[in-house]
Amino acid sequence: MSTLLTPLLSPAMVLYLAINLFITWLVFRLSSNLYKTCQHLPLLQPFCQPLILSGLTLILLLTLLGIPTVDYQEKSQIIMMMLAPATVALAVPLYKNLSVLKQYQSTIILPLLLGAIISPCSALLLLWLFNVDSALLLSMVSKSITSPIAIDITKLLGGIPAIAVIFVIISGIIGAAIATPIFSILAIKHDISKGLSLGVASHAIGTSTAVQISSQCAAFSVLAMCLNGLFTTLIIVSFSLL
Amino acid sequence: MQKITSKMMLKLKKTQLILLGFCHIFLYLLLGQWLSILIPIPAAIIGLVICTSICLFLKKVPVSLELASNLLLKNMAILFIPYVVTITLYWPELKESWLVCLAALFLSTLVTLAITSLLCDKLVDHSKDLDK
Repeated sequence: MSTLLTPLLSPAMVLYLAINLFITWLVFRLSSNLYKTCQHLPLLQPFCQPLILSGLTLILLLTLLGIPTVDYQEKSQIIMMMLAPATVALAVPLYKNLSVLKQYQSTIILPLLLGAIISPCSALLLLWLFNVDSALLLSMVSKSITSPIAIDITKLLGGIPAIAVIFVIISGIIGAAIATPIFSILAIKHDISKGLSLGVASHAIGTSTAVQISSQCAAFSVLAMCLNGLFTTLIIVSFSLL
Repeated sequence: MQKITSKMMLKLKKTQLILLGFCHIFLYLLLGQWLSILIPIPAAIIGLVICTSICLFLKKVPVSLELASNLLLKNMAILFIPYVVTITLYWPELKESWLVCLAALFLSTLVTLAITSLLCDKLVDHSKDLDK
């Protein structure tokens, strides 16, 4: 905490932080507006994810202005600090959808656990077969967990949070894009299963697709997303204790 | 001087509530920080569990907490921008294997979606049969 707060003491640094925050916010605002205008182009839309768009814009801006990325990272500590409260804030949607869990307890626990295990294991298997670097392997574990929890898990494992976030976003986009065709090919009938699998495989971005299907689907998706994060954390923590 | 209208009062009230909600969240986070010394689970996740248990205990979400969490969750994407930008620092590590990573992400998402939804569909059918 003290290392985070010391740079705040100098007024010039406060100005830097404020400018950094403002520009980041502005770029994000603009790109989410662009995302909304892309809604008429369903094919293009998944690739215009505001996060990716604004990330690319900022990278471009930094290279054009000749600012080292490390400097930007240092001055955006204040943004990253807000991640912990955002994780706690997930409690509200989790609590609101817990009644659903009580009702369908026996049916959804098993697919939830299975999905939470298959998702990282299948990806890890493929990476392992291709002899990929172990830092990347460790960042892949949290790929289908909602980003704030994924960052914590990756730090716990010793992976690279920046890469983990990218993996999380990409698997969210893939899930949202392929979910509807898969459900129609496999002839999935119940909205419960659709929501659950979307939440397990592609967290918040999948949930935004689930919202379009039905409100029941969305509830299961949110529940699956939160429980998946909690469950994976518990597994990893208990493994690290061994 | 500007006159204080009822609309402004309402806005003030909402701001106060949001601040109170942030106090809730930071309190749970602090508790989580203390507990994480004892159990090696990340502080934020302990905070999440504490916050959910408090809602379960109260049997409702306090209005202040709900307003603050809505604000946080709605703008959550902005918090990941610094992480996305710093990806350029790790490009050397990704350069060789980005295609494999992409393929792994695609395949595992596909497999997870298919298996989870199929199993859940079977189980829901099964429990409905039992109900009859």
